[in-house]
Amino acid sequence: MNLSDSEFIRYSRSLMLGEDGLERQLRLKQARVLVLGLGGLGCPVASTLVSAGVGALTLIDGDVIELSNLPRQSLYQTSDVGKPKAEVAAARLRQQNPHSQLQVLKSRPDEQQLREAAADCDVLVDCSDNLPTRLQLNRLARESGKPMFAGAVSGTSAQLYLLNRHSPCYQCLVDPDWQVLQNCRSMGVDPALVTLTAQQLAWLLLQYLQASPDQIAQAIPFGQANPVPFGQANSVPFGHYGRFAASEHHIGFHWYPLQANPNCACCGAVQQGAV
Amino acid sequence: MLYINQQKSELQAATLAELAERLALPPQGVALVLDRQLLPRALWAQTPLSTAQDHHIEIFQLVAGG
Ligand SMILES: [Zn+2]
Repeated sequence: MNLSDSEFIRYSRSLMLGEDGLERQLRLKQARVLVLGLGGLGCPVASTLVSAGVGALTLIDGDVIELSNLPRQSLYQTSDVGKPKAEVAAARLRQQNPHSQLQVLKSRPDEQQLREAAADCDVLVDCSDNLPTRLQLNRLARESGKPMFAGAVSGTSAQLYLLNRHSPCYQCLVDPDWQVLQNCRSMGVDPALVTLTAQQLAWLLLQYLQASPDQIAQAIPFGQANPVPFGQANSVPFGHYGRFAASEHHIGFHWYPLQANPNCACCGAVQQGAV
Repeated sequence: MLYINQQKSELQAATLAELAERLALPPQGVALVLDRQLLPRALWAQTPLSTAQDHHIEIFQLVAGG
């Protein structure tokens, strides 16, 4: 696999980033990413991934565009209100970069459809807006062993989860019996904070997708007794939870290792089996 | 000494679960970081708080929007 002349020009500024620029760009071209939810998080995430040269995306959203989406959902315009999000998003993304292959699911997928979509992808990205969908994708991530990058934003809170098969899972933290978590409908949302969170997620995704298998293997180890190679080039701190905070000396995401719940109904058995 | 969301607290509790009870935390949707570790609620009852050392605790609401 190589890049065409036009791709060389298009990606020239990324190719300048380091001696392995071409290899990194080719890894992006070979990747397929599942983006579940094309709202305030999913729009910028998909846009950055496609523009950067990710070869294929599976875009899933069953909603139609609403007027109240427009302040933060950057792929949609006023004239798109009432149209399916996934369809409009795909059309805009194709204009941004015709080299990306886009697969579109514009209805709420059932478990089997989502499982099949997940199986085809290298990474699952949770940009959804409700707890049951988040738990469902988390289960499928565990089942398939695929890494899951998740973002969640409501009100003035922004949270990120970086999870893989070696780390605790989302359900360790969030009980499926909880009726609801706060969302944008109930709490409102800060449009710039959603975009910032989405771009933090996209940056981490690109780091991961461009890394070599060796680099990923180095970045994976995480556990209570194993200090995280946080901040190293290409390392994605799986098993970490990020929370946006503005304090006296720092504006941005604070990262915390997530401890496993040994009795987690989703990953508990796997965790115990692995020890 | 306990610090809860950067504020000194006079509360005393033997475990995180006891602290949650003192603080009347809602039963759902809350996350707690103890000394930079995010601890699932299932671990709170078995996580002791020592009076011999400082503990830094952050409590916040989990959200699900996107
Ligand atoms: Zn779990």
